[in-house]
Amino acid sequence: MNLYKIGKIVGKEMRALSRNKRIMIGLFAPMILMPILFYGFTQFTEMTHRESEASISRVAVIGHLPGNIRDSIIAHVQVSISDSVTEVDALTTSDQDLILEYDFEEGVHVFVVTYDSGRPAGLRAYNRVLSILESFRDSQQQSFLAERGVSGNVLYPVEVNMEDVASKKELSGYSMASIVPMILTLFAILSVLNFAVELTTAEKEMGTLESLFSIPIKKSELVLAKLIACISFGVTSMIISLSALVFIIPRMTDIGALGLSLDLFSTFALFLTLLPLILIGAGFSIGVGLFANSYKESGAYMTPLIFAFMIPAYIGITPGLEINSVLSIVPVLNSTLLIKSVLLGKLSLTMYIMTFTTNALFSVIGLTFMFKVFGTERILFGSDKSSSFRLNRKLIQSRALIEVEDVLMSVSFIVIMYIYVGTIISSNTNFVQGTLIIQYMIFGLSPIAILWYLKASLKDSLGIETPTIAGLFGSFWVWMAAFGVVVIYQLLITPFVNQAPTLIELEQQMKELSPLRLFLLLALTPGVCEELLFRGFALRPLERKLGPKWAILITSLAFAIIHLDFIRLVPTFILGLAFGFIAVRTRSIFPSVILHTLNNSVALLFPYEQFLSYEFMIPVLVISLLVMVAVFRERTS
Amino acid sequence: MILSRINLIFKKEMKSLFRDKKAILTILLPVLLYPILLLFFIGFSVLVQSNLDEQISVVMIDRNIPSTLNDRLIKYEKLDIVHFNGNVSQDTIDAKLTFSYVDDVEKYSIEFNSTLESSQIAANRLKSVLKDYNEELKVKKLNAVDLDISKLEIVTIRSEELMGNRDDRIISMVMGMFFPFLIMLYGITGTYTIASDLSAGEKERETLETIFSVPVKRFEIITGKLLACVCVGIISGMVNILAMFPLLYAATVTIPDINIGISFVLLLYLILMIIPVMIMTSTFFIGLGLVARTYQESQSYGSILLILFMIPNFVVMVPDLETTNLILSIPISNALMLMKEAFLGNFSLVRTLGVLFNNLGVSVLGIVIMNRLFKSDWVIFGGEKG
Repeated sequence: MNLYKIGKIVGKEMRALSRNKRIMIGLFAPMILMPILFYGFTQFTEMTHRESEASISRVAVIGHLPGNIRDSIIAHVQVSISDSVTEVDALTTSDQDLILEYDFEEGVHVFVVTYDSGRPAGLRAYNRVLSILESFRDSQQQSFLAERGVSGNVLYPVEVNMEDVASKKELSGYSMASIVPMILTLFAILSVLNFAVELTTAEKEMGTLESLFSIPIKKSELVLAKLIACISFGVTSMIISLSALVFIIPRMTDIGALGLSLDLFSTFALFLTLLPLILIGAGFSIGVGLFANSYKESGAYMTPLIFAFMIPAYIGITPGLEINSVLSIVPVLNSTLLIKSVLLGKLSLTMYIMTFTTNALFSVIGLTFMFKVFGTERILFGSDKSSSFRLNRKLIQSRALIEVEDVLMSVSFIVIMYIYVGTIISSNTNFVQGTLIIQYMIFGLSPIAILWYLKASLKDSLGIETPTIAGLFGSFWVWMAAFGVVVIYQLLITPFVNQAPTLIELEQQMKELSPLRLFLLLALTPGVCEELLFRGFALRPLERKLGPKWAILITSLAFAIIHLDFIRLVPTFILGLAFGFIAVRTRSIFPSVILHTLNNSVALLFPYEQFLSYEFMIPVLVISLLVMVAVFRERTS
Repeated sequence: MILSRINLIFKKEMKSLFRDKKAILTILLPVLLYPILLLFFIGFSVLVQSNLDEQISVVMIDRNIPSTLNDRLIKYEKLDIVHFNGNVSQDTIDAKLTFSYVDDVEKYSIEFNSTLESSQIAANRLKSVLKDYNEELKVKKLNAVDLDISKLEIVTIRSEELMGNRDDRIISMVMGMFFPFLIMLYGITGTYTIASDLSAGEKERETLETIFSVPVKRFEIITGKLLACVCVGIISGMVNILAMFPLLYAATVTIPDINIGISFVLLLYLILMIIPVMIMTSTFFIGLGLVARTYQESQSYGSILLILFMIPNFVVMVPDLETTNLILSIPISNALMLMKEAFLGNFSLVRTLGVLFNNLGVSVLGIVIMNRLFKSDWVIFGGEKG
């Protein structure tokens, strides 16, 4: 590493960025926009609130109301009364908010209130009229009791008073603390996206990346310099937006009303929380930005990345969600929740350290990803003008494997089919039929049909090869190790999460099936169909184009996501990694089919609850790892 | 101006847009991403909610409370009762119940912290126990004076929902708020992405001269481009709604009572309301793109405009907002308000025409500006490094 060279490049990148209008606009826009938005929003909300409080509720009356009720309605400043309506249906056509029907039957006053709860005006009118009617009921009941010489107290033997002990600061913080943390988190992580695109895609589009490589500088130095430039701009942009929040907004509006407890200490805590996010954002977006050849293309790649960052931030605003040790290891979400706690003045040092460490680790992952991508010539200079998406079968020639683009398109298509068609199928058929149709038609047959259409060799594409005995033996231990990790993960999270209601429902349906049917339906069928799709159809072309590591990683991610289960996301990902590794090392799909079936059978049929302990699982994991390494190292050498 | 020529330009632009497979992918991406994200999101929320529901509330109770109430509280499984005692740390207590007896009335006070979910849950649990206890006591006291509780029902108040069931209405209201919002948001973003390519992109590639060399009037060219932009905006808005389909479908199937009437008429109405807004944003984005020299520059100016267009979108999310003349005069917000009303089944011809007229008026202004810019050689070619 030559610091001088890096410094030179950083200087060049910083100058290029500061000359860029787009970047400058993005950098200083929050300075103007944040106060306007905050001020505008609070003003507007206040205005509409005042307006609706002051608005008159129009009540139409059908029947002859008792005089005192009529008087109190008329006396109510915000209620106007009209007798022009004769039918309830008239509410839709007339300008009334509510219709009050009255009748006196067998000594009982009957009030029927008809309104539209879909509109604020209807609800407001209802609340206003209801309070009048309720006090009428009370007075009627009191006088009824008084006539019989009974004290009115019997109606209310218990009086309950709700006393909110939350301080004013806590209360106002609570109302704002849901949205501000999300904005800050998203801003920190997304602001670098723009810079990253400028530093990577722009350079590729203009063809200047090649010229940069021609100077005597190492790739790692170059990418480090770009990273430093990106982060510096990210930090600057964050400082600007934070100062907009801290200095400008309190001067414009009453900070108490906004409920932000922002002293110097919490501002500093915020800064330190957001810093790793910038690193994560920079690492991933520079990496992803390098895939794109043009600005337009970068949009296509950045969108999923933006979504990936946005969702955890949105989850953070779920009411009632507070940071705990499990949530502190979910990147992005942990920051949102931590900022929430800072704003509420409830910062815990342990949570802070956990969050910081997790995010630091994830930024390392992001940076590794970036360096990897930068080291791959194919991605940097691949022309990407491949003839994929060719859909006319006559023009397609027979080949061993399909293209990566075909795989990505097909897998997306299959996932879409699974979600859209799957919802319809599962609601129109029973559990068994639904599972069979989804597995065989969508996961099993569609990849085969696509391979046939695109004239690829089924044998090569799916990996239909007989595995060696040693390969099978080693594979078993790979699965055993993965299974150990999964069980340990479950042991770790059990104290924090309940079983999801959907799983409980599933268990109920499973109880009605015999063990043989269970095996066929939920072990063998997914074992065959899901493996065909992920470890056959998807894995092989990816492996050829991007290498085994990326292929395993991408297919495992897809495998985890398609299970559409939040809690099982990590376990399915780990199992996906194991099956992918097995398929790559044995060059065959059969071991992963067998082990996937075995894995599901164990989960379904084997009473393994008694083995669910660290004392049992940790030795199993260690032994499996050792055997696995021994077998596969032997085979490699 | 001949329609067939405009159509020709429109087709050319659409073809070139759709030849770019990656652009199509960006438009179609929500179909894949939304359901996955929503399902995970819902899964997560359910998890958090069920965790909260299962949580045991620790409540501190006054020692002097009547024994019948005490028994009721102890029977409640999700309450952990602690009696007033100096040794208990305040932090572990979710709510506190104090008691006094004044003038034959039992007075209770529930202390809780509304900013803590666990404390709110505890307070609600206490409240529900006290409510049942109140009823029990009331019946007892009335019986003691030989009165039947039914005798007291001399006034009945019944509330009825105007259109079917109440939950339905609330769901329609929420949908009416989110769906038009999403269509609009993504529609506008769609026009933003495409407009730069149609204007500044063409300038940058220097293909504008080629187009000018064919015998087509400039106004026809720009109209063709505008139509393409509007089309893409509407498509991207609609795709986002399509992406919501699995969720909606699952909701209507699992909750049979909900009868969401997304009728064909409603869909047409939505499109009708969106079109003027799409024309409006497209003209402004294309106009900006014509002023910019490069694709990149156009995107940076556009991003500011995009934020400006977003603001009226978010205005509609303000709770309790009603259709007032003020709102109906703000472009974009007005269309959203009427779409919201349409979800509740209210269509007002006068308002619809007013809003269409209003938004089309702004669009015409945009078209005039855009056309002026496009006609000016100085803007189109003069901005280059002379």
